[in-house]
Amino acid sequence: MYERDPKASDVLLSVRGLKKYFPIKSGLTKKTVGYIKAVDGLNFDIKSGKTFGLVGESGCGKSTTGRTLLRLLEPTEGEVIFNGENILTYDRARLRQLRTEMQIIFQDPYSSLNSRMTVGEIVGEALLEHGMVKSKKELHERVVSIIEKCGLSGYHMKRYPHEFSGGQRQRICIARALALRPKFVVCDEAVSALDVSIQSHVINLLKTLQDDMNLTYLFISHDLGIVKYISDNIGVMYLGRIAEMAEKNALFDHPMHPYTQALLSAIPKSHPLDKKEHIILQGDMPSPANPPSGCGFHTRCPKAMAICSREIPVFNAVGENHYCACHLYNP
Amino acid sequence: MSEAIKKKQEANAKLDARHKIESPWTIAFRRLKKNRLAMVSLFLLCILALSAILADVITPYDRDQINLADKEVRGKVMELPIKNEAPSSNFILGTDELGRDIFTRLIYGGRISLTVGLVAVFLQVVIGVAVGSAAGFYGGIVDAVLMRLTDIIMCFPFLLIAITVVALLGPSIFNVMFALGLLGWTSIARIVRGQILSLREQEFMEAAEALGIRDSRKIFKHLLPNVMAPIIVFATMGMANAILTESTLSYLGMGVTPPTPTWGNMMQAARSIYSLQNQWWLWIPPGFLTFITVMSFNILGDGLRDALDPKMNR
Repeated sequence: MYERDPKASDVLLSVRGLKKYFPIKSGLTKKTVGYIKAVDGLNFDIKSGKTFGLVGESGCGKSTTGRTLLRLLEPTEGEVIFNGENILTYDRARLRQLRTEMQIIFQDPYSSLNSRMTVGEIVGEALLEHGMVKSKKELHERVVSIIEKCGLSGYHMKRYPHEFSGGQRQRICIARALALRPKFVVCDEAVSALDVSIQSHVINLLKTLQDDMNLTYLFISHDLGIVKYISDNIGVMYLGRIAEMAEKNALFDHPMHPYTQALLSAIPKSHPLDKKEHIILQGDMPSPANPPSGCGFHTRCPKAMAICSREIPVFNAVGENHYCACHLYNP
Repeated sequence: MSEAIKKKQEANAKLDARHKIESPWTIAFRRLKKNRLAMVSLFLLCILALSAILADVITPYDRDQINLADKEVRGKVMELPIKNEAPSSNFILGTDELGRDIFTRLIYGGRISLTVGLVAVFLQVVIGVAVGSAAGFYGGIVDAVLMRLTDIIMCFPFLLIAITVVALLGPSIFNVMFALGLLGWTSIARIVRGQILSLREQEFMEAAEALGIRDSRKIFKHLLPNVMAPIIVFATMGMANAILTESTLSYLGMGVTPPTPTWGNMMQAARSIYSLQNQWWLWIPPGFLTFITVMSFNILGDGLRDALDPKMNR
């Protein structure tokens, strides 16, 4: 079992038993006929000032997790403990206050900026809304300082989003999220929509800002290379659950879960003479509306055993700070 | 970094700083300017609007003035109205059946028609936007109730209701405006609701939620500016519609009542076959102006739709 103190002093955010089910409604009466189990019981901790990477294929519930943590989606069950308090019990007013401490950066830099507002308005809006600035001059100064930190110039303030490139737009999104000086930022596929060369710029910017402002990231991505570069700890998700979670080097050097092993074997080799075994998984990920019994991965697992289709594996410690949900390692 | 590269970067930065800022509205206007037909319509409408505003200055006679002339009737000289006179140098578009100058009444009629159109469309937009954005933004039961209400009002046969209203309240310019405004907002409510439903799912709205932006600001600052384009197009086309409907009602005697002139009630002259055949100046000028105005509004609306469509490239 995953047992750690969610209120430990170095932990900024803890998630316990988080579930998000989307009801499937059908018919004239909108009767609920089933649930899509997008997130089905997550447990993890993110230490203050560190980056937690969440990887998995599309549809495995990564983005839903990110949005649920911020209560952009209301979770079905579980706890999200931020700064020692369960934020799922917050009412509207307190939730609004919490917005200044938790922020999100989205994947698509095009649809995530309002095309009718100038950059200055976009970045400064939340500062005004939360009464964090007293005068127009102070607002201007803070907006300029944050957009300069994000690699744009002060004179960009009066421009509209359509006048920027994708990478610049993502910098605006970052500036908007960081203007409130949050402690915790969810980066939901923040660089996936960008060119590879721009990706590295933005990733490095995120890293610099993390050091400068003492930020804690939840970095959601499907790109293992990027996650390895930016994260301290990594969780591998499959079908709404975390399959394996470890410190990044431990995960990349000694993957335990068969799914992680298959994922890592899919990274292109960096040298043509490297010998690497390719584990090719058969079939597609099952539908989260109708997940297989027992371990969600048993339908594609090369090492599946009889027990795998019967029992859900427990999320157990298999090493120091290394957790894995697989019957292979169950005592 | 070598000197040359540094210099080039500095030059680029300078160039970037001098970049002319264009808001989405400026771009739309630039595109509209390229549409010649729409610009001609805009020009015509400006002239009409200007003449309506300056009616007192540019008209040669008073609006309801009955022009008299000495005439010999059975040996006696009497002052009688100059009725139904063909255009001449005194009355450039002739006089009507009471001896009033048609050109003067035409200009004043334009004032009434444009005012009725403006007020009616303003009412339509205010009601339509309020209903549509509330329904789209809040969804659920609010949406269901408001949209069923819209459906019900859409089912009303407009002319029948308008005539009933007039029959109950008596024909007047205000009743026409209100009938038009209170019954015509349904399509704009639907457009706004649809747009807001799709905008609500975009990531910038999720970002606004994550930033803790209040609902009122989300609606007025984030959503409505993004639905302005279809609202403007609708309002322009709606003007054409309102002016046409006002003419119809007035022609039927259910709208603006004489002596106040409108293009509609001036065309009543065409109800008599004699006038239709022999006195063209009674009904062709108001008919022609109605046609030009409605046409211009429609063409301008079309042009605006093309210019405001973000999917069209410059």
